[in-house]
Amino acid sequence: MEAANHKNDQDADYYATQAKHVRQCLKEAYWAFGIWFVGGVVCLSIIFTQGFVPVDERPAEPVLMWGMPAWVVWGLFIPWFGTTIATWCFAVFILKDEEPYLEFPNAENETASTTSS
Amino acid sequence: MNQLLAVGGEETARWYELHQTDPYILIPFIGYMVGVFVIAIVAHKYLKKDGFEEEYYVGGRSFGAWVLAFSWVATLASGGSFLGYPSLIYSYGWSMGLWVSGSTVTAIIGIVVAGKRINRLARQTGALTLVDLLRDRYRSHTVGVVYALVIVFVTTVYLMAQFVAGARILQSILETSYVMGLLVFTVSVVAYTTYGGFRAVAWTDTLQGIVMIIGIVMLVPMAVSAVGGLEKATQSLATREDPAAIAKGQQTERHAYLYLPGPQKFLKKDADPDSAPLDDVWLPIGLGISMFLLRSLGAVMMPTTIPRMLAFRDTKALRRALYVLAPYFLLMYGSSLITMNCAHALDLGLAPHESDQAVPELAKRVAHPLLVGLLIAAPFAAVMSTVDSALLVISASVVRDLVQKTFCPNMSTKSTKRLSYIVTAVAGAAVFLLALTEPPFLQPLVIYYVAGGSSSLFWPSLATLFWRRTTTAGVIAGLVGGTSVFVLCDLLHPFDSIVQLHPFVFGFSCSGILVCVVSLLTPKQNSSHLDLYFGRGA
Repeated sequence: MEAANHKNDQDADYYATQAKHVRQCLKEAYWAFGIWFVGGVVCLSIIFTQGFVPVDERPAEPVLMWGMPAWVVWGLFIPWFGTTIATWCFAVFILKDEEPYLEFPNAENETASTTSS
Repeated sequence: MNQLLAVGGEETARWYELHQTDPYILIPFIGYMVGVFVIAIVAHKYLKKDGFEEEYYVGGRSFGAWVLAFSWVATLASGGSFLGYPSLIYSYGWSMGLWVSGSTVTAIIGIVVAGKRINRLARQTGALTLVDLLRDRYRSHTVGVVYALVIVFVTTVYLMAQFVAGARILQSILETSYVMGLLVFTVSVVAYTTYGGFRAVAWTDTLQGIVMIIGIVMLVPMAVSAVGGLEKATQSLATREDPAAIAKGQQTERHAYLYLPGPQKFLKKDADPDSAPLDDVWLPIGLGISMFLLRSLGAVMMPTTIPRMLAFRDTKALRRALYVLAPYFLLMYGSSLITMNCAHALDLGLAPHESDQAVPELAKRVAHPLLVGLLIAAPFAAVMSTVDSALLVISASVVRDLVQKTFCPNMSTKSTKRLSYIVTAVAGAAVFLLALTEPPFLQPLVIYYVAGGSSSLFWPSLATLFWRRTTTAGVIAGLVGGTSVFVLCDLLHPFDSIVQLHPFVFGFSCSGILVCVVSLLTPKQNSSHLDLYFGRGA
């Protein structure tokens, strides 16, 4: 009886921890997609407005910055620095490892590894 | 053997002239290759009789931050990144900056979204491959077989591109024929992958990831200095004639190499005015958006990088790996953009169809001979690190996902071991034969792999990890539908008159819709089984 209760407690722990893990992973995924979205919008909008210049409107002397076309610096390199810093901040502040690792409950594990056609 | 050599025609005679190659170039290159084989020999000692599969396919799930970071990025950054993409910059100038816009966010989107969740579930279920995980989650062999077949198909296309890249580097460094380069490359990479398994692959990838970044970053000051400054290189590009336009009797557009969508492109090897545009390289706005999506989302569920997510030790390793990965892509692609735009001004004398040789040729031109070997080893390392991973993915899909799990569940360890070795070697030999066709540009094949892979695998895999309501039918519909729509759009381009997007966007979107709709229309999975994956109250 005591052993059965102990197993039930262990299983309850497992399910609670697993649910918490899923919530945390979802939160991290939302942040990652958020950085992806903001980075993409900034990067592409600058490239599209400054990089796609009709032939007739291109200046006789190309606009350069640090030896490159200006759209490359503003639309690519600067957003790249930004997303690099955002990724570091994500790793420090958002990415967590608070859910202890637990094995699948035994009985269910056997079920899980038995697949059907 | 003679037959294979004959494919290369008169060039094959050079096989006997290896002694003419500069020893200063060969010494560091050979040193690098020796390092790779030493690693494989050491890694082989971990392949004990017990737990052979866990060691061979996921390296005992013991990798720390450095191995995770460098093996992930080295696998992701293939010959396409170190030869194919530089070749496009060499051909089309600064306009190719848009091509890598998606890489600004590859690190965070590629490894974070699925990495932690896959790692934990794989440990809990004992999964050695993503297919293992899906098969258990849905309790369906059909899911496993369909997934494995899709993976084998797209990975084979990818491997072919990488073999071509490896062969071209050896062709250049050994001054031999393409076929002989291909043969030497195949034998060496298949040997150490088969012998050492995943641990050898991950360790050599780490070495290769370091060699790659050192090599490509070192080229920057050398190339800039050789041309007299980046501004001078860009000014030289501003007046560059567009051979494709000239061949058509047209004038070069003003600053075609500095602005988007860039100069005109050709599909065929020679500058044939009747050639169709090379769609995968042409960059109107719609395709620019497509490339952004592809280069960021495409990294999430790539068959070759997934094994790293199964193999890292804990979240701490993942966090530290992110510190390394975040600036890696900036350094890698930023360096390529700068060096290859300088390469124009140096006039490497490469014909349009030889532009994949631009990196090795530039290295030979600007670096001291002692450094050239290392610089050439960088793209070679990129190719090898991708090939070894892809070979293991094919081996795992065939041995573990198709044969063992589906047809022979009671296969002994000895038989599994033998079959794993054989399949890895046979896959290498098969791709060698495919690579003899020598496609003119690498990058379209690489893009085909990433696009095809993510069209079919992204949504089914992501939904499996995060959406409890996903069903077997939904996943299969997403897999088959995404692949089919991608292939059809790639062949027929049915929507080009309406909107110019890469076929990937259509396959990718269709796959997501199918997973969602079909899952909602089919019965839910057993709730108690799902609780194992999602907990209760999630």
